[in-house]
Amino acid sequence: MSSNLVWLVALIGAYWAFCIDWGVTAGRLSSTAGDFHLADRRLPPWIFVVTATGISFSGWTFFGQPALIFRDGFPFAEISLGAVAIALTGVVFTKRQWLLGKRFGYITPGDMFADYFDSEMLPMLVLLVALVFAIPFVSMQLSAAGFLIANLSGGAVEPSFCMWVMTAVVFLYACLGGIRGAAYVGVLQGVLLVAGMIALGLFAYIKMGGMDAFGGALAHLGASHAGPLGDSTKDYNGYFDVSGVVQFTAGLGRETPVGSIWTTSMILTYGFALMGIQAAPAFTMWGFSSRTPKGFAAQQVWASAGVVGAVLVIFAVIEGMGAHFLGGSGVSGHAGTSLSSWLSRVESNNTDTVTVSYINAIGKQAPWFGALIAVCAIAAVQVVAAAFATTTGSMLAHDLYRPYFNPKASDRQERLAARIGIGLVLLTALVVATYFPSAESELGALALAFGFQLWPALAGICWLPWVSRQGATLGLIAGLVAVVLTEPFGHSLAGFFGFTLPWGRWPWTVYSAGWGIAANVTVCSIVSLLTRKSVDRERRLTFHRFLAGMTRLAPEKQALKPVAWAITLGWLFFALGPGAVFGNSLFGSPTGGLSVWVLGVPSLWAWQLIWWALGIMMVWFLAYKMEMSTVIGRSVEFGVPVRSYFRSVSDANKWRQWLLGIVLFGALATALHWLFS
Amino acid sequence: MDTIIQVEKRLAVVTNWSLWGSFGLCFILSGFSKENMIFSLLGYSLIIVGFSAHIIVNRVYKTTFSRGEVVVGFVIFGVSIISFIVSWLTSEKYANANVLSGIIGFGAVVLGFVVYLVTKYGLKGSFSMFHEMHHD
Repeated sequence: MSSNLVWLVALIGAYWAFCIDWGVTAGRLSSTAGDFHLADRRLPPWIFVVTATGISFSGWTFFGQPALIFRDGFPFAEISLGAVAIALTGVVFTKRQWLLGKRFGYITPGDMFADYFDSEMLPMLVLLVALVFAIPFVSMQLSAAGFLIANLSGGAVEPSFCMWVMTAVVFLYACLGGIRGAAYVGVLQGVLLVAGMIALGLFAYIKMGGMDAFGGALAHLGASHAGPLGDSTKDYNGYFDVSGVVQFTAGLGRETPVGSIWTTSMILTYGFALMGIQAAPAFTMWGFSSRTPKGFAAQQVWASAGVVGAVLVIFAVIEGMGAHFLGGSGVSGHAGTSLSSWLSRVESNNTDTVTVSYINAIGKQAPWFGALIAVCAIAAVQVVAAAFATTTGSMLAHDLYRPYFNPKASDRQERLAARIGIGLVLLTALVVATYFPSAESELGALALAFGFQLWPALAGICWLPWVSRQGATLGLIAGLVAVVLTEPFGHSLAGFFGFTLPWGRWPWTVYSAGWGIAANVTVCSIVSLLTRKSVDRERRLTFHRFLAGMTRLAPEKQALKPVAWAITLGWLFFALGPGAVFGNSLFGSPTGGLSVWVLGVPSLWAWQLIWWALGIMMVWFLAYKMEMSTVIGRSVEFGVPVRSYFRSVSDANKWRQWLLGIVLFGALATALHWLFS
Repeated sequence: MDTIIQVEKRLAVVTNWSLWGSFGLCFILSGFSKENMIFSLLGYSLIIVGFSAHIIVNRVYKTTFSRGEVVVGFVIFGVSIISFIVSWLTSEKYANANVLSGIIGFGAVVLGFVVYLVTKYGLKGSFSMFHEMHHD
């Protein structure tokens, strides 16, 4: 047995023992369904801060961010500012959802949507979003982690075997402890995620020989035409230049944009998709679980925008771009760009292997470090798997099993149903990852964009009483359809029904989340306008009066509201939106090199660093100064029982028949698709 | 059975040491294997950071080191220092850089511990505490 394998087995074994031990401990503290679903609403602020940060960034950051920076250069690195955008969603919604959850005794987001909109359909749509978010998101990350362990073991174990064992561990501690188990284990996983990414960036930095060498190599690369992206619209190397505000192309697969796909329209709409993470139903439950809102502002300002923002804007960039100069790509064949041949060549068709390549190289020199960073990677994957599995399992039990199949379910039966739900979510993710890799990537593309489609409905609940039930429902459906139609899944679906869509993936260089939200907001606004009913609105206003009473700003801060709007819109415009093109050459031409680069780094990177710092200030201003996430002085009367989902038993029966019909239709369509495609 | 507060305190302590302890240990191992003093001392620094963070956790939860924590701490420290001395005495190729970093590192950890005791209990109180533990 090689020393690499010995260290790997020892450290992973110790880490998994930790996971199971804390699952058992959490299980001992959970005695009711409320405990299992929401940790009895008693998660302390510090646990929320660390775990919520781990869930928000997870394995997609650990593997995906450096990989895509490696592939698409600094234009993609603009997405690192998503750490601030993700925090922005939290600022807008988390505290208000927590207040409603506590006041009205909601357990799942389904409860909240059903109660607020007086709707039976919205909880089902929310459950659909939760499932489409959780399963492929978990599945993709399991694949990456399985590949990592198999690779580090030198082929001694199969990737699929690693995935199954990893999932079994998650299943065990999630089943035992419910959301409390996921939260307790998530604390270590959250800190390991951040520490691992910092370590990878530092290793790259040291191996390149410091900032001077890295800057010099970037200067040579900027002056060359190396790389598969070709030149941008302004004849700069595509790695260094955001390729315009928008390109009216028919979409990938039909027409390729000039330079990279990363126009500011794409960056902004991809940023929207990231904002879907904290709008996802699972995250609502994490908010409900908190003992107080005390941790919200700290999570958003310091943990998300601050710490993870720094990790993405600095360390992920060093890791991703550094891989070119350490032997990871053919770029290092050009003069001045080869600093070392430390890394093995990254597979061009699977850039996720950038991180794997680093860990492999570290493991060859220091097996203990390679194994420790591999544990960090596994932790980054498992934090999200457990978080989404426990919350989605709870939603299946509470929003599907209880109202449709067993309205008189005991506490014990509901917990059992939740555990079965966790098992089903994990098993489906695992089966998709193991046997259907193409479906995994098609569905995975929908996940983030689907999560963001809940924004208008959540905005209705938390801020805008004029959003009606019909508006929120039809808007959400329109948004989900628009997302599907601008992703490969929609093309496969259209192909199945025998016709071809006249556009490719992400037409006009707008990400599917952007198309979705455009359709969603348009339909939601028009329908809400057409379905104004004073009775419904009056009922919704009772929620808003409660929120207004709990979140009232001091008179001197009321005057700051226009300032808050201006700062937020300004930041979105320059950091993620059309204003980002100014960053291409404001601090020196990309081809100019170190003598021209004002801050000693490429202009676009300097732009990102500046807007990251300004982003922290913006989130601080909103969260603390405008009190959007801080502790409320007034106490919240707790636990008015949530109303029943259905007005009558016949309503429940009618919905159950519809549900079974949809499931049967879906199963039949899938079977036919497999038979004839 | 432990209360939720006790469980959360234990979680904070275990997580703290899992992070700083594991990275500290990896840096110390890297330093010793590459005969690189910077890595070794960085590792010892991380251990001291872990110790400081443990004190902060104790402060937040208004507790002190539990008997279990003290025992585990002394056992790990004892085993580490014996391993270091045995390696130094038995290995002919043991580099001076390793000897120096080991002495500085372990010395810093001991110094940190003594500073903590004196700050918290005073000079006399620290001795009395050991005296009481001995009688227990």
